[in-house]
Amino acid sequence: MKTTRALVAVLLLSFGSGCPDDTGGTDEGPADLYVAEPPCVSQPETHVELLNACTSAQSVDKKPVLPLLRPDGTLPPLP
Amino acid sequence: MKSRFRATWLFVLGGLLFAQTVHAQPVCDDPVNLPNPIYLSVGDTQVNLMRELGAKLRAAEQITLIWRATGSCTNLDTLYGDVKMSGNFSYIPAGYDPQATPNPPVCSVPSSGVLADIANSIVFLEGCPTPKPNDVADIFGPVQSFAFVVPRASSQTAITAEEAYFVFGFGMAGKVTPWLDNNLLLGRPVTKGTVISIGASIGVPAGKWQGQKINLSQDLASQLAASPDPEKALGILGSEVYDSLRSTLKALAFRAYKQRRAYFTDSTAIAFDKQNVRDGHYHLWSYTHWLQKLDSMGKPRKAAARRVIDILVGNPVTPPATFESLDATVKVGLIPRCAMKVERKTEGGDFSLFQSDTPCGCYFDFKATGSTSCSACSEANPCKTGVCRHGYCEAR
Repeated sequence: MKTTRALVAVLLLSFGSGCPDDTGGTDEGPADLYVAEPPCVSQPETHVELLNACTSAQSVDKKPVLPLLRPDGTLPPLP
Repeated sequence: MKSRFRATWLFVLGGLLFAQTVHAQPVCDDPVNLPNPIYLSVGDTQVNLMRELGAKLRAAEQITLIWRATGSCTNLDTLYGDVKMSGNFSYIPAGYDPQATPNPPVCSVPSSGVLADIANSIVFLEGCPTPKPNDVADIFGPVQSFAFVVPRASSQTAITAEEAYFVFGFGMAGKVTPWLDNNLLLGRPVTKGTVISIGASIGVPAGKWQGQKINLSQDLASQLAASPDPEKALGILGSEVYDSLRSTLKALAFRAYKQRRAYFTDSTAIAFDKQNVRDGHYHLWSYTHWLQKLDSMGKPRKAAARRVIDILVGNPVTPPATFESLDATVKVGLIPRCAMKVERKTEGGDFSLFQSDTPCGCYFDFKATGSTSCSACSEANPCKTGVCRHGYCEAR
């Protein structure tokens, strides 16, 4: 009985891990909000692939704060 | 009384004449002490190359490089319009040692002026206002990378293209922490290749940059290193200028548009291998261009100048140079095109894969880092596979 209750609690917690206002859910369950970073490109050919090709080089993961960025993610024109 | 007065004046005049003789600046037009002169107008990021290559040319071929340093667009206008140059020029004397003498001597060109034999641009020619005339040859040279740089005391490690757009396009109004003081944003005037090239990568044309405009790279570096608020200070430099100033400055990793992570020019923040420039992980670079005038038959107006350009860019020359022409390029932090794995067609433009017909990546790795995974080779010890180039077995 205790094991069953613990299992139910774990299941309930896992389903409740999204945002309360999450509207991405479907009848089959809540949306997975985690977006994994795409894997690096092992044999790049295009410009974007070359920029993001697999490498052993040191890199920095930066998430900048950009107050003037438009809501759609585009850049405003220069003044 | 009169004789004493006269004697005094003669003594004073004699002293002045002696002082002038001792400290007179040499003239550039001195065929004995400055033989076979080649006059150049180059970007100030190329001064170290002038020193290193100039020393080799002077020792091996008795060619004297005589140059002034100014902006890419000014250099081009000087050559295009046959504008005569005058004033003080740096030059390479006999026996010059670049390590022992960081600042080469100066000679003077009279006001009647001289024409430039070679002009240099560190950006694609379209980045400058004046179109190239048909009587000018443009030879692509080694790759020059650029960096956003901060004082060593700054805690910053990276900058994204979006951040740079707001910082230098809007100044403090861009609200990108910590770079919120326009007086501590150090850029360059619009004629300088550094700001033209970086501007193309971040989408801020040179004429729109906010912050200060520092004329000389070395002055910008000094001002940055001495900044009263290291955290807010941010500048731009050519990598080969920055590489010699790593004790006081720090280059930021750069994340280009559509890129997921930020990278340094080198494989690590402290390496000198320029790996990320070579393989397309680092966006801020351009080709150096070496230009000269052609005559009415389409031939170089000065054959000796064409030889200097060919040696500089690594083209074969006849008779062959008696020194390894790539050494000076690699030593000053430039990347010969034969070591590149990507190319681009426009300033700040997209990358595409590149493989040189005469690759030199093995040699570049050895000279830049002290080691290479490639096999050594020679006439007596040929390659089992590939082609022996500069003493190492390249893929082709």
